[in-house]
Amino acid sequence: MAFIEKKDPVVLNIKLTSCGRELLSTGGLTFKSFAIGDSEIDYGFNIETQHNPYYSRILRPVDVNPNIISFIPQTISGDPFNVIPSIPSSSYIVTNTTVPVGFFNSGATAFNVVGNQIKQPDIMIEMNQIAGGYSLNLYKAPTYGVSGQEPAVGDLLLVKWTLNSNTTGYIVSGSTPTPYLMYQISGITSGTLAGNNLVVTVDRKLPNFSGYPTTAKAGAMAFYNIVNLTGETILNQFSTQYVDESVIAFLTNSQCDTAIFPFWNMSIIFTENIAGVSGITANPPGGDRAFGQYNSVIYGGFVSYIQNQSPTLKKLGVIHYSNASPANVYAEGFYLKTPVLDIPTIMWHKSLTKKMGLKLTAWGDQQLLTGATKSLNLVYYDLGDPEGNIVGKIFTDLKIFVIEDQELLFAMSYKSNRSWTLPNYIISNNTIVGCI
Amino acid sequence: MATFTVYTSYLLTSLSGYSSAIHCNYINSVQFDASNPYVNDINFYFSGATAGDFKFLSTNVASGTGFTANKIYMLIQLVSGSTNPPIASKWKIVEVTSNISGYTGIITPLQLTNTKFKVSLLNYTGFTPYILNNAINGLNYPSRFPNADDQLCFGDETFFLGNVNAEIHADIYTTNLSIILPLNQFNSSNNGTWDGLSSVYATELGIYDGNGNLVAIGKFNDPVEKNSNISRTVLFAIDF
Repeated sequence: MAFIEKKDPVVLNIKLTSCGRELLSTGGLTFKSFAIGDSEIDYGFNIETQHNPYYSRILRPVDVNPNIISFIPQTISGDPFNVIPSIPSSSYIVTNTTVPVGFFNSGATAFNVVGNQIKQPDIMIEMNQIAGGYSLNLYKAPTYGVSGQEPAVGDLLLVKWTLNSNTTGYIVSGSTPTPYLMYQISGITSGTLAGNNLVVTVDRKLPNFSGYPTTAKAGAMAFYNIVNLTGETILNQFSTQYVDESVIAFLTNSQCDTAIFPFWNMSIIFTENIAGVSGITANPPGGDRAFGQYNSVIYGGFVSYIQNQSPTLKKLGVIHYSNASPANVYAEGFYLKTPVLDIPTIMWHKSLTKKMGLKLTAWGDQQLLTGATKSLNLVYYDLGDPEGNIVGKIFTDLKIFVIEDQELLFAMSYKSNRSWTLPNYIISNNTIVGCI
Repeated sequence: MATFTVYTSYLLTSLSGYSSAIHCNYINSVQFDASNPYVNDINFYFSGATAGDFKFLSTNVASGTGFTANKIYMLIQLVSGSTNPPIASKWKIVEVTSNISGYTGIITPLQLTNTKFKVSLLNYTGFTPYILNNAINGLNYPSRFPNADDQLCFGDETFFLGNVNAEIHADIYTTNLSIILPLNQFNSSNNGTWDGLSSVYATELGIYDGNGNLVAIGKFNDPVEKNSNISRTVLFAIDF
């Protein structure tokens, strides 16, 4: 309970009571009459103290508000309840700007190494020690010290492979495009990073840079491999491990402090096997992992849904803001063509310059997602690069981005062994003369 | 005569340090009618593309930027009919590096865009099957076994390694009520402390339903004076 802040102009702080919300939930909310009250005025006291009632403080309205116990009726002996003749309704749009959310600083020139977004940002690799295989020596970068965390089995390792000496993996220099590849740490062989003698094994074969100068050093970073939002959260700032449906329902009627989850999710969804996946038992033993065993299978229905249940694209990338925080960061949707995706570590073959990084924005007019037989009737904008090459869609009301360009999908994948895209091509056929 | 469809892609591999990466994911196709589909050449070229489209393809590994390629392969699959899709396990792989004129061991952007690659289907049945895990040394595509869970796979992506900026909006639907308090009305109170003479001061406004339930309550931030010399209009809105 609190008193209303006195301020000009005179305004009415109004809210539905608990009774009103209950009736709203059952479809029975109606407004029939109003009554004006003066329950909090003590006229006798004001006369006695010569206090001007205008300066009195009034309690805020609350959900279970006490009854109005004294009224100012229309006439001195009249009924205090006055019929409301009509209830006009109107709508309007309010807009706001959100803070940039993601792994990078506002200029997209460096990873944010604060806020526990990255487990260990200061790892260094001696390039001439990389001779293929799976074993990788990790050293402390000269900048080591921001985090004392040790890489562990299961963590993701983002390596900025470069034969230049560039030990700060978290700095992204667009003018010196270098492959950023993600590996998974599958084992700790010996040592620690703090001891500057950590040896790990990774999930797939490493490049072979033996014979290159000892001055060549690469920066790397370790990420937590999952976004654990229940129990042992990876984000110390996150205070919502208690969140469940009832708490969220409560939060909609209160003003509990909620954290803004600091990054977006990406799911590359496969509803068909990749070319070259055998799906048989020959090689490797047991057969290749089929798309139905991918972790993205939980999003499988979305591929059909977002194509009006008539999918032509079998692989889609979805960039979404899924987390357990009740913070309503993006309100009811993106405002018109304002969303911007910055992907600093991609080498995009359609960029005009030899500069790493891709900025995607809305292009053209707002469109409606319709299908031949079924239609979601969902508004969207085309998502394109600065030159207008369309790579996907922005669904402003769903607050998601969908990547449709099949090459960009592979370049964004953790597994494809490349962070660059390859150009499209033309094929044709001709009958071999003399063989008809 | 029957209709056939040939699906294609291509793969660049590296021998010079950097790991080889997965094939191009632009899958294109060409259709033709033939009684014998094998008496066809499939031509493959980067029409419309320029060397600039391979701007990140480096010819100097020591430069430390971009990626390198030493060999180019064509992925190919012949399918009967015009609507049948390719089958993931039925792809073939054919090296076409020898089509490049002036090839000296490392592929340049100009060589790619100036070359018309050609594969004859005469030997199609003898082409090497394209098995992802064998063809791309270093990809280590995982098996079906659960003990391969320590290997990353496609579909394992969790984080979006980028930033999102946006302005946001909310649609506000408002029920507006306007209540007029004329000079000669709403000048008295049944508050027991009112003296019957002085101005009244409104502090609250209640909205009731047909059953007398208080369904909404409003409070003024200052008590509002009312007497026969003052008329008021109270405007208020409930947002949904």
